[in-house]
Amino acid sequence: MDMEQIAKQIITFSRDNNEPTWLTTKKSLAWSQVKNKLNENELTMLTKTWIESVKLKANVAKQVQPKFDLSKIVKLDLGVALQIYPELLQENLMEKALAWQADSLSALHLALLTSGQFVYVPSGFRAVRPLMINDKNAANNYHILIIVGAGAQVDLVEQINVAAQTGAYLGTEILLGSGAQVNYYQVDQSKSIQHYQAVHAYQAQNSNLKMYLTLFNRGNQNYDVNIDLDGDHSQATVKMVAIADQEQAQKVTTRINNYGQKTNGVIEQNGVAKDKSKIDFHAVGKIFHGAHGAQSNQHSRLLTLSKQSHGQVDPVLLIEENDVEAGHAASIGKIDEDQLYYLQTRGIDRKQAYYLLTKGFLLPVLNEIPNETLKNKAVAQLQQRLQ
Amino acid sequence: MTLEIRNLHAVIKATDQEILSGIDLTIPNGEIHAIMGPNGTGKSTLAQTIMGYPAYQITAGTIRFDGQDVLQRSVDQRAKLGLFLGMQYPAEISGVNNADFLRAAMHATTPDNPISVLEFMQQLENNMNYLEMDDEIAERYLNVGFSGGEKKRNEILQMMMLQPKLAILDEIDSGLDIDALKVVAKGINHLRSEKFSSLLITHYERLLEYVVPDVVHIMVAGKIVKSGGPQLAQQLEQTGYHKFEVTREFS
Ligand SMILES: Nc1ncnc2c1ncn2[C@@H]1O[C@H](COP(=O)(O)OP(=O)(O)OP(=O)(O)O)[C@@H](O)[C@H]1O
Ligand SMILES: [Mg+2]
Repeated sequence: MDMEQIAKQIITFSRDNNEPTWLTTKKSLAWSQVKNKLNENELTMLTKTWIESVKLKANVAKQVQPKFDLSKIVKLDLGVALQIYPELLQENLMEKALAWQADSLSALHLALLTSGQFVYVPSGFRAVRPLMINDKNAANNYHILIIVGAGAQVDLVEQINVAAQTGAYLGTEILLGSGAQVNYYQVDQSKSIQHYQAVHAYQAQNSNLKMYLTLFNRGNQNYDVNIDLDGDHSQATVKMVAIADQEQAQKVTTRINNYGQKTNGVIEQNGVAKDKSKIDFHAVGKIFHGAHGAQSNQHSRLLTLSKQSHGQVDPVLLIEENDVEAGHAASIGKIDEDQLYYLQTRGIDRKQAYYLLTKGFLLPVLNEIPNETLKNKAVAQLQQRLQ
Repeated sequence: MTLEIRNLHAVIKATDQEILSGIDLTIPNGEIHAIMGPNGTGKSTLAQTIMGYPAYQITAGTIRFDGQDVLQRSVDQRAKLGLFLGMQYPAEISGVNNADFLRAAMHATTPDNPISVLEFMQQLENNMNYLEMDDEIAERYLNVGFSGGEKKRNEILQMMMLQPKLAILDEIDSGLDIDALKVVAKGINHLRSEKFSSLLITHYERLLEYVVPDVVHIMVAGKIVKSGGPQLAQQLEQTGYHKFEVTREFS
């Protein structure tokens, strides 16, 4: 790879797409930081895949007439949003929730970013219907920035459906203003062979985020959830359901950082590994110094359906304060023989009984999705994935 | 549809301990038999062995139902033959909706005769009314958080929906209040016909007043030591099992 050539392509792409100068500069900086680390890991493969989109100018945002209006819900192509709301994006894009300096993958993601979406929910806005975020043509390096203003309430649904290909990375960042209330439901049905997914959130005081994440994808995946409970009294719940089969490997890290006082983080990870697949659940709850009265709880459960399927659950609590509440529970188990037998005594064969019990293992989590339509959809998608 | 058990011996796989020590039992079509016996004597083990519970190993003997070799079949195949076991301790299964489960079971036992959703709902409602069950029970997770009595009624509900040819009911009466006992008995009597037979395992003569058996067997230490008419149960109420335990030692 010609590093200088890529550096030029990044600049050309940025200019051709009318991106603001600060972004061109930031991307160049990100590239200069990551280019020396490419031989260390899988980043080289990703660079090769993503650079194609940069060359192709895959997402050409035409010059648009700026009509600045933040009084309604905004849902725009990221390239377009960059032209209309440059200051807002300069302040927030990969700065607060999914910081580009955090690691090499994030830096590469920014440097070679070609497409994405921008969602803005104005302060005090109460959305009646769930807001759907999906892009059937999502490029293999894709970014979604969601800003929910103070006191706003919204249900967000992100549907991920990347086609079969190597090396996709989807980064979603959600910023919650003070008192914002967000239910975020993500279904991942991507078919990419190696998939990276990051979902990061940053929360101001009194905000409340409930995440329902369903990992129904087919390929290998690194899934990374990170929530910063920055403002006092902010709270986040992450409920996850993952399925792996055949030779699939799911590596999932969910982390909640309690910075603010009386913040409350709950992580619940539930996984089913079939055939020869593998699921690793890492859960981290960190209560930082000064986060008085914070709570951090986590619960990870893994069901292995075959002798060759396996996995790990690895709960970690890091606590720097005394007056806090924290706990974790973790289990790896097999199908309960007595439950299996009970179903069989009613004529249900072993295969069908396995299906019912597996579904039963994950269903109670999905049943908690607050929106009825979404819940039914999630259940249908689960059934589809298990078949 | 006769059930024929000959010289059945079974051990607990894990410990090799023999629990069933030569059971002989015939239940002809259309008859209701009762088994009574002291705690730990092997009554549930017998019921579970007929159904195919994997913790037990048959070391000798045969079980035939309707002329078919039961022991050659998997648990679900036995159910498909028309065997049903109402369990002493039904499993609780979170995440599996009671009604969905019932529908799956009906579909599995009568694959050639699939029932429509509407028909199913109607049958379910009728049977639940008959058993004086709360509607919400149908939508709850299978047996999860059910009271003792609710679990037993739910077993009877399954029996009524699945319409087996032979129902083995293991202590279906234990933990039931008097009204519930009558309801459960009503459920069993509802199925009573020349095409249905049943094996009731019980400790109490009271159930047998409501569901009058054709034959009562007394089981002690893994064997049937005496069989007789319904009056045998009344007699037991007076004498207890002591006499039979002694008889057995000398025989
Ligand atoms: N899976 C098992 N593992 C170990 N021991 C067992 C198992 N199943 C049965 N037993 C033992 O076998 C014996 C017979 O048990 P079983 O449940 O058949 O008795 P029962 O006649 O049904 O008693 P009860 O009237 O109390 O229900 C008991 O001593 C019991 O502890
Ligand atoms: Mg018993």
